[in-house]
Amino acid sequence: MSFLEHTRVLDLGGDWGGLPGQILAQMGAEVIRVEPPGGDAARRRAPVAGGASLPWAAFNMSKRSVTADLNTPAGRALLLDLVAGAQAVIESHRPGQLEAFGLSAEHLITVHPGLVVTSLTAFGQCGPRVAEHASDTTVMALSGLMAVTGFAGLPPLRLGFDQITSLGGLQAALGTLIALYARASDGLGQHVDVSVLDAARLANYREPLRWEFQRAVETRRGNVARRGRGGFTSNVWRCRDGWVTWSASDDPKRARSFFDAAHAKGMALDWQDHNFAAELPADMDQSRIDALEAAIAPFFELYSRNELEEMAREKGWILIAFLDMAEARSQPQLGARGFWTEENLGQLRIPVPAFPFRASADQPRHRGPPPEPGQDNATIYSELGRSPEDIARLKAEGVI
Amino acid sequence: MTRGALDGIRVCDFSWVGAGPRATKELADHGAEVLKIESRSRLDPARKAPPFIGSDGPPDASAFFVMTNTSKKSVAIDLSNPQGVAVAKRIALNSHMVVENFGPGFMDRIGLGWDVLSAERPDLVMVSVSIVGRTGPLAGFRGYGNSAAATSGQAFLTGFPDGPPHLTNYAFGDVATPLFAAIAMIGALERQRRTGKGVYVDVSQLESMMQLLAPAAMAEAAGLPQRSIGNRETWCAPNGVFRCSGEDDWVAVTIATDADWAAFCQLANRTPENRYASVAGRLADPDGVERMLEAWTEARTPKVAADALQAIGIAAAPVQDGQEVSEDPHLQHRKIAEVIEHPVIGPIRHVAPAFKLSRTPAQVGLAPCLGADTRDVLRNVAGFLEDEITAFERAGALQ
Repeated sequence: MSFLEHTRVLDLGGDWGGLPGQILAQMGAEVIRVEPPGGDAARRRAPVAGGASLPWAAFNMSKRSVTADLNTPAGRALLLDLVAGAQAVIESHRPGQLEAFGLSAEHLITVHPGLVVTSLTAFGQCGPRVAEHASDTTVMALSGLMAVTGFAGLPPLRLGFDQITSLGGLQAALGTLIALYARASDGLGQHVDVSVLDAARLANYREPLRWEFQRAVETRRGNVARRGRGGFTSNVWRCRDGWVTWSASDDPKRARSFFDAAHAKGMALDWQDHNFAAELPADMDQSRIDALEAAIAPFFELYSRNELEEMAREKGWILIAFLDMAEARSQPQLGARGFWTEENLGQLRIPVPAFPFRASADQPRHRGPPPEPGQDNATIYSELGRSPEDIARLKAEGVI
Repeated sequence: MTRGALDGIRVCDFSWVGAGPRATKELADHGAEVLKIESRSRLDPARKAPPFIGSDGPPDASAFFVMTNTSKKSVAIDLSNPQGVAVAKRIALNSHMVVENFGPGFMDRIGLGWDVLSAERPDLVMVSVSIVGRTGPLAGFRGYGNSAAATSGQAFLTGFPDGPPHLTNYAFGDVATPLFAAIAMIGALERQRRTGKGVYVDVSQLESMMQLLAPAAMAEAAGLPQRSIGNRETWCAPNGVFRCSGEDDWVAVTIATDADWAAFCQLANRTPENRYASVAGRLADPDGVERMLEAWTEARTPKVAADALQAIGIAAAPVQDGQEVSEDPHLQHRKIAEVIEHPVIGPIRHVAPAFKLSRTPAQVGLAPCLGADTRDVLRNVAGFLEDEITAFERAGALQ
């Protein structure tokens, strides 16, 4: 049993759209990747290890794969037959491209009124930017997130690994699920128009609002935050073996406890008598915050990240270490929850995420490596009534 | 009113701040009846978050709160009052799903944990959202939105080479995790509809962020150490932002293919150099190709540069600030927000979902004032009589 029993999804996600299909597959849908003969171009995207593209592998596990050349009438006929047996299609072609093949969402839904078609594109299906070219970086730039990411005096900074595109992918999974839920009551499908820019704009929960209500525009300030009526407090501190996040901000008891620990080391003695309940650092002006922070910075450098986390647990401070990726992926918390499972990718056997979230029953889970291009051609096309001879001919003609 | 995709679903929503409410907002905007259980005695911090409109402060004048709580109903219940807990329990047991993102153990301590609720209603769905999950050695960890950025490696990978890790002023975990949570919610409700069975779902910010960083985690496991690389890509060059003619003006550009690079060289009147003709050559000297691109962008405004690059098929866009995003014609065309008259704030943009459904479109409704629906919900959902409700009020359970 699974969350999405008896749901077949065609995944025409191209190089942007792997994530939503993977999540639905983990939840138990049968997700069939439909690729051009030879496989999607995204299968070659760096970094590659052991012959496997890691970005491709990371977002295309648990799926099946067929190939079909949509530039040929025979390939389009195969796709139409596949559509007839599916509840949902997820696609990420540039707007108008499927229409040119005679496979527009409107057409597919007219022929199959129960079909959900989800289009995941940079700018959605309408609007002045609809025909523009886009990348993860350029969409983040337009969303306003990039202008406030980074450090004063340095260029705007991106989040790597297509995290902005992934927000769109998550929205596509959600939109598909909501449309499938609606379908369960009346049997009718619909078109789900997902825009990565809309998703990134929704994620930008501060800056448009700041402009609309305060007529103010924020810039890049590095690792500080304003949490009260005063200036900006730092939230990243260098310690003996790396960095921790902690903020002298918003809770009098926690602040007093932290300063007592610093005083015990002979530091920040000017603040021994300060009543944090009467005045929190977050409400001080910037010069006093700067003085206070300069006085406690050496405290962090006395300790390792582990020692600081240990003290924080004991004393109730909100403090956590920054981990690099090697440390992050091997932390005991993830291991204890069974977050990783070993999978074969190319010549490698490495841990991959085992589930999208934990559930007490029918646990959604990883269901196998990313498919080879067309590995399920014979099975799936014979289900559609194609004979072994038909399939051999399609292959010889380069359609599959 | 046309039909909403999730009409008929009732959610008893104890979640507050960002990571829970952003998930239930997605459901509410699509027709689910989301009952936000909240209290004046322990106010949702989002109601205390600026900007405030006019001279009114909390609880009803926060524009920040409005954004995250569209289309919901508000039920004021004090969970530190035993009668309040009893009322909340009745509402929970009359709902398809319960959602919470309190600190570790809170729901169990007040007697509204999964064990108690599922024993009385076996088909209940319950979803918890937390920083690191409800089990495991760190299950008791208390943190805030950006804690997951630190411990997932995301902050470490965000920055310039050899610089410090970066905590962004928006908590990415607070926007990515609610999407995982909402996906889990619809999946679990679909399973409930089909099988009549309940399930408890435990969504972790750390795990949600690690899903999105899976390519980096897998590369690290494969022996490729992952470090912050600024704005660059591993698969193409140049990629990033490039200085333009004005003060702090930048254009973002991705030159994805060899053809794109050749087209740029022609646009910029640069003689194509053999060493940069292939992506491997450009990746071998990113500084060199970035300098060439910036020499061209520096003489132009972001818009002029982006338009010229778009015209030859290259992904390019201005780095927009909050004002430009607010006024962006494309976003306005897509109606990413609807202006609704709020009783305290006045007309205010209520943000819409990031996808459009053609047949059952989202209908973004008013974000509620605190306790606006208390009586109505106690009467019509929980089935209490008027004098019972009045007695709860007198006992201080409904504040």
